[in-house]
Amino acid sequence: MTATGDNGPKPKKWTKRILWILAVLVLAVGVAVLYINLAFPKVRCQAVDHLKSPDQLGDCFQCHLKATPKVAQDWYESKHGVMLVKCFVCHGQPDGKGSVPYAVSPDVNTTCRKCHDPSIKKMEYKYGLKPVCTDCHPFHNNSLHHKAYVKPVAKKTVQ
Amino acid sequence: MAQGGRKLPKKWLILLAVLVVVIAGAAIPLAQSSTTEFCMSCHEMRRYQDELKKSPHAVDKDKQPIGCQQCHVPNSIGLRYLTVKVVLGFKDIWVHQFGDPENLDRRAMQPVARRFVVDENCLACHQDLTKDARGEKKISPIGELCHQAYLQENGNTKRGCVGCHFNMAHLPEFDRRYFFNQEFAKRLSLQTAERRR
Repeated sequence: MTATGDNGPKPKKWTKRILWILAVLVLAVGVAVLYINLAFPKVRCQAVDHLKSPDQLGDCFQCHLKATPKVAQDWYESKHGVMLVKCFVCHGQPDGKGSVPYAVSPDVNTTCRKCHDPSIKKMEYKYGLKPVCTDCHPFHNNSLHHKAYVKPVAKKTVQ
Repeated sequence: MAQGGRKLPKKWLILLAVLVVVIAGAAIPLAQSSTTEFCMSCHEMRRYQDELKKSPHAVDKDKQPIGCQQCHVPNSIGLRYLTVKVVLGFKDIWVHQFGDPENLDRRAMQPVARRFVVDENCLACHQDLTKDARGEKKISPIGELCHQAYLQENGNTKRGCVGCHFNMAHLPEFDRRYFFNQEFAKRLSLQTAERRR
């Protein structure tokens, strides 16, 4: 009786203590990770909010002229803008409709290929491919105006 | 009564002494590891200093060389400072010991580096957002709109400084093809050509 009485509580105490320490550690790590993600968010763009409130779904360009003026204007003056290749063609739609997933930075290898597959294949055959299209081809900045006839370095240095 | 009165302060004094020792013991290495010399004690950091020296951020307006910590470590000491020190410090040690520091995936590194560059560091030098980087000329109308959106005056962009201003001090190979990085890239290629000679 006495032997079991002595041995009984001891391991219980230890397991309890270890559990407590573990719990505090897990909590500390959790708080730290939470703080890091709050203070230094991975994606600072609030486009995620579009998914939450349906009233945010509308004319991307009208709103983004204010939210991201440079990007909006660059697109407007770019070849994509002039051809009216609208935002959703590459960035998808917040409601998830259409074939392109909704993304701030779309996967270039799939979205570009949707339209440019023939020319990509041609380029691949002639020169080989750099891993990411946008390394050489600016997507919002490929302008018809401004320095339209100053060819970007990109086009000259592709071997 | 007297005993109890003495005991309590003694306990607190010891606790205070321990706290002071812990804070001092933490603050000194934290400060010492926030210097360019410390960063350069790892050889894989050389290339970033080489790039910085050819970048628009090589020297400040008093012609003093700009150090790594001026951008990469928050200026004000606080929770954000500690977080950046701990996260980036452990990441750097981990990669140095167990990673492949000679062949780093700079494309994957860019978002991480940008995530931990705080706006206050940029604003420490560039206070007037209606003027250009040197504070002389007015910026373009589009730029002005962007900064108004940043300041939440007209529109509300949540991008920080480095969310738009890329390649201010470093320029990986794959970014050099952008025509707006032309000058920086040219200076870098001159540097590599010199080294080969």
